[in-house]
Amino acid sequence: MSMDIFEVKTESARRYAGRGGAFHLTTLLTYAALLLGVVVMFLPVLWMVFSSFKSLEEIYRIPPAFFPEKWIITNYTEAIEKFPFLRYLLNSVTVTVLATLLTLTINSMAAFALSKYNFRGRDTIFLIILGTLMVPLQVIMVPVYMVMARLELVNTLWGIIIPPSATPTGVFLLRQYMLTIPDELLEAARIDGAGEWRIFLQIVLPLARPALAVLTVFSIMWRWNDFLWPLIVINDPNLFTLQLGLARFRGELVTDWNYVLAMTVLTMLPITLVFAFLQRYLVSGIATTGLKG
Amino acid sequence: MPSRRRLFYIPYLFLAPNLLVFVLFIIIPAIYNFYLSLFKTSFDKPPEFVGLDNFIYLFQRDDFFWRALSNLIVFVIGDVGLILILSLGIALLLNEDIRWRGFFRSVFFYPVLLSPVVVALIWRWFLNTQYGLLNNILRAFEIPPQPWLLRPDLAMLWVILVHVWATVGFFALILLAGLQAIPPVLYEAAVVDGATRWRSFWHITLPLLAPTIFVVLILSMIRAFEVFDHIYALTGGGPGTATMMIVQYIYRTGFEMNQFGLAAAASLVLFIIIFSLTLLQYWLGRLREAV
Repeated sequence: MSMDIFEVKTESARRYAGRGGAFHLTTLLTYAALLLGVVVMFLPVLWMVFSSFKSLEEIYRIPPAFFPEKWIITNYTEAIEKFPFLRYLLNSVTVTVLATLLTLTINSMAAFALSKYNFRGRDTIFLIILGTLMVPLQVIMVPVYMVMARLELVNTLWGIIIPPSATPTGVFLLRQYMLTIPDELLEAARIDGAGEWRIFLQIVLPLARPALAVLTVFSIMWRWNDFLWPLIVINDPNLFTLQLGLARFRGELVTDWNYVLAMTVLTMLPITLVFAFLQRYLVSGIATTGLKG
Repeated sequence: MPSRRRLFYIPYLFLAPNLLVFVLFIIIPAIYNFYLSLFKTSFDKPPEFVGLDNFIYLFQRDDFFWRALSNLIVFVIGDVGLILILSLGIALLLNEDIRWRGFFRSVFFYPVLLSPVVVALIWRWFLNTQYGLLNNILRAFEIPPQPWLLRPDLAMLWVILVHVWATVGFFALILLAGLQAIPPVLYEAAVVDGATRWRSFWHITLPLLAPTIFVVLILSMIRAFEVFDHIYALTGGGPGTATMMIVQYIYRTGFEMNQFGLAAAASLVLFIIIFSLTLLQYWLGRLREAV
């Protein structure tokens, strides 16, 4: 009890001694700067969200009001009717779900081999996998397209599902995690007669669940937001993802801003939900690997 | 164990699917890119071997390439400079003894998760000459509306600012992790010795954070050199070619003009830049470990 009081005293004494008379001013400035940050980061987003609930007449009014005078949702309902929004949505969901499943499967298999076996070439293969991080799609666009054309993957959803699924980040993340799983567990299972495939499925995968969760969140984000792959691979408007569909509204002369705003808000909604509920996975993942696929 | 010997191929089987995708879609194209850069290709003629002519053309005669390169240099300097200053500032603020730290951290991080296309549309609406919020705020101060994305110099400025807005939270998070790894004992000792906060910053924070700052520097440079999506959706490289960067040059040359060979040569130039930056990071990382 007396120790506690002592601790508290030294803590506050230290704080005041360190910051001197400027204590209140620094705190005030810190909060002021943070508040400014909040405004800069959120104002453009909120302006878009609020605008999407305004009527066209109100959107094009000068000077505009920040909040809608009358909240309407017809921008949303009409945008869904007028544009193939649901088609884009379906394509985006298909790509995101299948690519994430594929990424989890092949990345965890590779990570299992790299972390739980000794074999010739293991370290070389691991280095090559990490080395591919140095070759982003941006620098091999043209030859990639030619390979895709040869494999008849151009203008198919498989063309944006398969190629980016073997992420070096995912292999790295899962391998590091699987290294912490004790080899004795695997040996014991082998003695009990379990096959390698069963060891992978029933021992290693369940134990690697936290790392798999991080990779799932990452993969959903990468694939949902992906732009360059679809841009190169897809020409057929029926196969457009949401990002491609939205990117059609380029140039200054957009007339249907009310619909564009509504569709943009809908497109950022899933990522916002992922962010709101799964943020801790993202932050821990970034701490270990960075953000890139 | 004899049974283990029979199973030598097992790890290769587990690796196979992932490696197959890598080989097909990264390694083969990367090698093929070298080969392709030595050919002249066009719509109507079969590819013709031209040696290093594509590179000579790029650097000696191609005004578009020079335009893209000089745009990119301006962009990289502005983007990386702002990211370094702002991410450090944000990390220092978030490292303070503040309430609602989780909330503030989320605020800066949120745009990082938005897709480049969404980011571009948010800002195009915000910067819209007539109906955008920014010009209407300025109007209240009797400043006439500015065509933010339609004037070459302003467009370049906003391309940089929007890209910084969208990515700075990621780098701030890396620096925050670096700051939190500095032992608090050091600051306490400095306080005992009567050091001001400013002196603690210069003599403790900066030197100990230097490795992390360096990582941020290299990573943000690589990202800046690779930039494409944000700008493509924000200005399309315009007005004219005012915000066209190398990746867009490659895209345009390859996919709009079918000059695959020339595009491959330009890709190689970009690859060499990114490759050297990565080597530099690796090498300095090793150097630090050795010390």
